[in-house]
Amino acid sequence: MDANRREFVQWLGVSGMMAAAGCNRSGPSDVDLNEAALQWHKSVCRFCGTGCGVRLGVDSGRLVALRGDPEHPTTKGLVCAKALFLPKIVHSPDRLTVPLIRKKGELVESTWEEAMDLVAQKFAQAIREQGPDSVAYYGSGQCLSEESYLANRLFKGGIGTNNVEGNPRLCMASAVGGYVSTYGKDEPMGCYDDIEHARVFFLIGSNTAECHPVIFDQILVNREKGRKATVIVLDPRKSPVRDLADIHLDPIPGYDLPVLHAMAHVIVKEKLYDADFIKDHVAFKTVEDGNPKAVDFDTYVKFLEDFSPEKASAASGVSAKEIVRAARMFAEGPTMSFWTMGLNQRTSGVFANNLVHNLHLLTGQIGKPGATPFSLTGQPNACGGVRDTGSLCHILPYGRVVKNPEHRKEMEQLWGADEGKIQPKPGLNTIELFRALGEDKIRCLFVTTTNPGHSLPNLTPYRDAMGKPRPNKPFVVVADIFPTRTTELADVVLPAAMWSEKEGVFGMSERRYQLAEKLVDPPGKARADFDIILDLAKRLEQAGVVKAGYISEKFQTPADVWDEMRLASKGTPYDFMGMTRERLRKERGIRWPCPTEDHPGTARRFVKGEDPLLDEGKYADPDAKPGDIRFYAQPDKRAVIWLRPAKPPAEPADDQYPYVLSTGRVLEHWHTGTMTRRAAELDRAQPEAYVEVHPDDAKKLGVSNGDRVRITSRRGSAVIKARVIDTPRPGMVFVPFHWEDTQSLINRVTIDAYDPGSKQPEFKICAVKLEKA
Amino acid sequence: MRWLMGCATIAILVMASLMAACQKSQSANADFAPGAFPPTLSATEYHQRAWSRTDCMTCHETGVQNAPKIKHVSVPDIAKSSKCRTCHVVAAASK
Ligand code: SF4
Repeated sequence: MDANRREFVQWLGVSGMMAAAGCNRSGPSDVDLNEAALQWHKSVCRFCGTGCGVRLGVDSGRLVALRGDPEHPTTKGLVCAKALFLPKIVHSPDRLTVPLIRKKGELVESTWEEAMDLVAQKFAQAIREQGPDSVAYYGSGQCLSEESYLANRLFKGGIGTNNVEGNPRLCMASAVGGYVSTYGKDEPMGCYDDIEHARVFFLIGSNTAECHPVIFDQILVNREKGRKATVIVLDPRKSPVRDLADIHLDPIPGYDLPVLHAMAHVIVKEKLYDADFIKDHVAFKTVEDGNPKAVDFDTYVKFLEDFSPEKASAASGVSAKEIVRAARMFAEGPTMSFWTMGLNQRTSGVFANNLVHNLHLLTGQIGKPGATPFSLTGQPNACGGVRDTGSLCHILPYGRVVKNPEHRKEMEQLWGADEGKIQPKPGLNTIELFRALGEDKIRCLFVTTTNPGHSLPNLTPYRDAMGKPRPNKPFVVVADIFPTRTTELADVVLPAAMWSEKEGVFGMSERRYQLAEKLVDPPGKARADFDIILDLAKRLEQAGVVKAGYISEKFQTPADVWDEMRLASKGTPYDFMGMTRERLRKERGIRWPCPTEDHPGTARRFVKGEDPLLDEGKYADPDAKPGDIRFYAQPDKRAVIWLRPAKPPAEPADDQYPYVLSTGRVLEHWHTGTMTRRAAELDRAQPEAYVEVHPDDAKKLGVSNGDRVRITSRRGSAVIKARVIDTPRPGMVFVPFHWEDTQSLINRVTIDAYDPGSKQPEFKICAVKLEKA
Repeated sequence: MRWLMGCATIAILVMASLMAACQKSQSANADFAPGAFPPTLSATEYHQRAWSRTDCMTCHETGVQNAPKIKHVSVPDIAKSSKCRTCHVVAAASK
């Protein structure tokens, strides 16, 4: 190229072009929001389970700005980029605005009347001809609590099927299993206030910096204030949290259980455990012949002999020295553990959760300011909306289970269902539900506010189950706000109202229930899920497959449902009888237990002086002193240290498939990206899928940055651009799962093996091979 | 000269599409409050890796080294000790 040509080509450079086009303002600007010009309303972010308090600026019936709410007691005005762009997402021109019905293979515009008639007729016919278990509901940790509760009530107590599932099965089920098996009931006992008091943070399988940025920011604030908190990271990938890590333990994916046991080994060996706490509050258990069996401390110590730091190092690849350092640091405390999908999305997810609780129980790092195990939730309402309302196939509201006859009876009475209507046998868990759909055993499926056509592991057969044309293909209804990889498979698509276009409660990770009010109208003919479920219930009553008046005579508004939910919680360990709608409108959320209208809510559960259930009612303990801990959800009031085997993953790497694939997220996008990809700035920041490949592996494979790589497992393949970077361990590759183009749908590759206890699939680990595409 | 004309045509087409994209994004943002959305960061290595940086205002308040000056008025104090990448996404794909 001669000089002239080179200069001209340089002139074509993007910055020059942008300047010429008069729009070189992609960098920071000094334009600031004129807050006084807008009307502001309090609300809560609708993305992750951090549940940040937000203020929404409204002008002429539109959301025009979002800011953090400085008056929010725990998130204090912090928010992340995803939330800041929510107004754009709400008003995106891509919103679904009219019902669609598949006719001759095409989705065509229809009316609500025609669509709901068809849905009700198909459901009623299936129930009449093949029984209640021929239909199913697949909901979401993004539905409002009243919506999930109402759907659960309709299907379990009205239709008589426990085929009620939701996407929290894919993200938090193992955390639930961990809490229930250790403490007797679900949900964390600590709260975000603990972040301020902690001196040690243990981040396990959690890219907190990107997936829960506001939690990460609070950890940073703790450090900025000179509190010298130390950070231990346990993760095979050097995600951005490593920037803060004092110790990074990076096990071979799937081999972190030996590391957690080894930390306990060191704590025992060096006598760093809290003997008094153990004596008063802890039981030790193992499993023999499929049943729990009580053992003693000495048996546990003997069990841990197999997990010396050296042995754990040999199994996991983590340095024995670093394990010892981490154990000592953990025991110093006050220690707050945070974990998320890296621990939960595993075939040994419940066991992994138990082992984190073991460390807290062993050291007594629990129930004190700054000392608590705390699972972070991916969705805004997996906790309050699905876990607490019992909207999964084996549970009933507020800690009840379908297998317990007393629990069924209590709910039948409250719901006004016929005796025996709630079935004692759990319904189909998520993976089995979609398998049954593929076998045409489920005749009708109602999906709302989630995208299983993109998010299920081993995706191909489940996409076929939902959408592949065949005689007797099951009937699939999807309610959502945008077209997705699931709506494209549906027989009927219902346009749904989004957050801030409807009213309801979100329950986030620290047991705080917060009201998100309706501030603007939904676009076109979109309706709230609450109205859609109510409409379906009325039509099923008219069709005679649900008792007349079972739902239609009881509820008009979400507030009516809320009052019944409060009653359902009364007397349970979740008691939030004191959270009236009026209080929720005024206050910035309230943490349960909150049994009376004058109770301020509970920062730390199970702690005398903080938890009101220890003062009055069936869990009361008048002998306990302020600060004493009482694990009242366990019959013997003792939390359990479990002796769990360190099981390997379902599909470790082997000669044929020598790499381990792990999936995850980036800060700018959320889950299947259907919302965040609709904000241009977020989309531009992360426009396409990529696979992180370690430089050593890239060299072996002859792959350079930007090359397209085929990732193949025993189930399927995806072709994705390589990012050669040393963040994953050698032998591991990492792919964020937000993009929907056919080539990069990484869930065609992931595995649907699931934890036998929690039924949560092992998204985080499967064996793959790589080749340059 | 033919190459020059070819390049000029490409330049005009690229410029037109950039202007269209720019106008589209400006008009999309015009439907919201001015300053509603946090400015994006240029895709420098420094910004890309600023996962725990909380000191960005050191440059951006003073404008040192041509860093665009910003006021940050509507941001609560606590956010000033949080990492900048929490709210500000980079302008282009990272690699
Ligand atoms: S951290 Fe989570 S809840 Fe908070 S603003 Fe970001 S996405 Fe929303």
